[in-house]
Amino acid sequence: MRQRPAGRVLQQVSGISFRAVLIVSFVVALGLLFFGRGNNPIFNGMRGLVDGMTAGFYSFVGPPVATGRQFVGNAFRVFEVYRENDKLRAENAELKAWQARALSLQQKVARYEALLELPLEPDIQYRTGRVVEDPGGPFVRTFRINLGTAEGAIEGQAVIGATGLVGRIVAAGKHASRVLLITDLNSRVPVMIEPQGIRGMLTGQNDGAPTITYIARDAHITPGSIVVTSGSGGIFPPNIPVGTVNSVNGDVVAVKTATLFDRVMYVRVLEYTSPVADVPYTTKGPPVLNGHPQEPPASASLAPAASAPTPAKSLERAAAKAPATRPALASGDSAATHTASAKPLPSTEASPAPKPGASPPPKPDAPANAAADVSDPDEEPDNAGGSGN
Amino acid sequence: MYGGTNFNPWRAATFLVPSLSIFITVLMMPLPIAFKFAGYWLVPSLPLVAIFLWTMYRPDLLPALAVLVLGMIMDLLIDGPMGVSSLSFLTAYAIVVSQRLYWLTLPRGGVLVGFITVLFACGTVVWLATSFAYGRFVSPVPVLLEGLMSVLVFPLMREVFGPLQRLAGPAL
Repeated sequence: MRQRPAGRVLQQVSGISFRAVLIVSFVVALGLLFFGRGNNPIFNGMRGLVDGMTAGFYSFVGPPVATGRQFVGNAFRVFEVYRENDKLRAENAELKAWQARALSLQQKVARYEALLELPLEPDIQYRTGRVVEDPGGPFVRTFRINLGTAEGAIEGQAVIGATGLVGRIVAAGKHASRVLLITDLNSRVPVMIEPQGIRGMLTGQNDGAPTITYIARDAHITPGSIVVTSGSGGIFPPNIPVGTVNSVNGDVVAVKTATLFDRVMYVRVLEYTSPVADVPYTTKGPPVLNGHPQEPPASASLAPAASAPTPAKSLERAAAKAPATRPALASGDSAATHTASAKPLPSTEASPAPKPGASPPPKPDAPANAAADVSDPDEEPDNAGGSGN
Repeated sequence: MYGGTNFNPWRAATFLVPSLSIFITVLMMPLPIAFKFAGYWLVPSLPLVAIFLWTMYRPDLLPALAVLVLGMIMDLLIDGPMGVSSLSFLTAYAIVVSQRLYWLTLPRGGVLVGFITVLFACGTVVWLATSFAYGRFVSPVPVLLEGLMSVLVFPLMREVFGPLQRLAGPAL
């Protein structure tokens, strides 16, 4: 029997034209496209609803599928193991030398910061979550992680992986959140190119090579330069590794990301609040800091304010600033809150310089520390339910 | 034969088989099944293949409204701009419904030719709709790669959906 479209069956039953149903469907789809542009709250709410309904399914099915994909991917790399092992041994020897040097410099910088009365950066705490979904469309680069508002994740929080910046949370459901990757077309991240200190805006291109725009015309950038977050805008903490400059073609600076997005299984959501956020915008009256009106300065000079902490006070404050840790979340073994950074104590008395090779080394500055905590991106973090420091 | 006085619950349930099977492919899309190659993610459009196969062989079981709703669910799940998948799926549906009898009369490989034609049309729709949603022309390479991957999985999907279509019983 010749098969007819279901619409024609419907037409026979109800009298509704098949063509009319098809045209109406097209009109509805076009309406969705038109009204769905931008950040439509209705569709965002629907996405949150769907996230909540499917979070359990993807948390259950996603990890085995990811493991299977990794197994297949590793099967193609098995022939490179020996060569890669030799290369890693050489790198390891070199890195050990650099580690000793870095630890020494770290202590020196901490002492200089204390002497210069630089304000201490706040500890950044984080939660560890698991990637349960990958991007599914050709133009969409997002992850879904198993941390939601119930676990403390909120929109705008930065997300890092084992080796660098991953993205930020753009929608938080109850037990799952969506992370916009830095390679997505809609992603914009203020970055800085080291060591020159050139600032720019990292723009996703939907492939592995986001580009940096809004760079000064006279900037001289060389391939291999390190790209980190600049901290501008207050969303991302400064100095998170983003990647390295891959190529420079005229105004186009392509970046090779530090994160291998097809291998990310665990991420960390940073609880970061920019110091700028503590300064409410005001046009009248005295400046307001931390919600309390401040007295105007007696004189507009570059001299330090009377209340500015002395170096000794800075040292005391640093010593008293113990790394606060939170108890592990009760929601599961894959989600835990930790302190990403404990500023090294800027005093040799309080924290003697470690010997090269000493274990464990003091934590370097956050959030680079948080990124470096897990050496293997595929390895499950061993800190679930425990303290990060 | 349409309508009739003998209501058969099993035959009525067969209407759900296409939509459910396509829904499963939609659910599979956000799973970590994509591989990265040369900076691009390689993942086939499984729902598009499924819609093509059902519309090609059993259009009597797949209404346009179901295609519209499945596209909406797809966009919600993969974070894509709303309406893009719906437009793509409906384009495939409309083309197949109008051309299926011609493709079925072609010699061996005619259906694959039809599928590639549909992929080309749907890829163009997705590219234009996404560019409209983002307010700028996006690179067409991801769409081309998705189409290529879809062609590669087409024979496998055909083998999977063949028994399902037989399970759905004869045409109404």
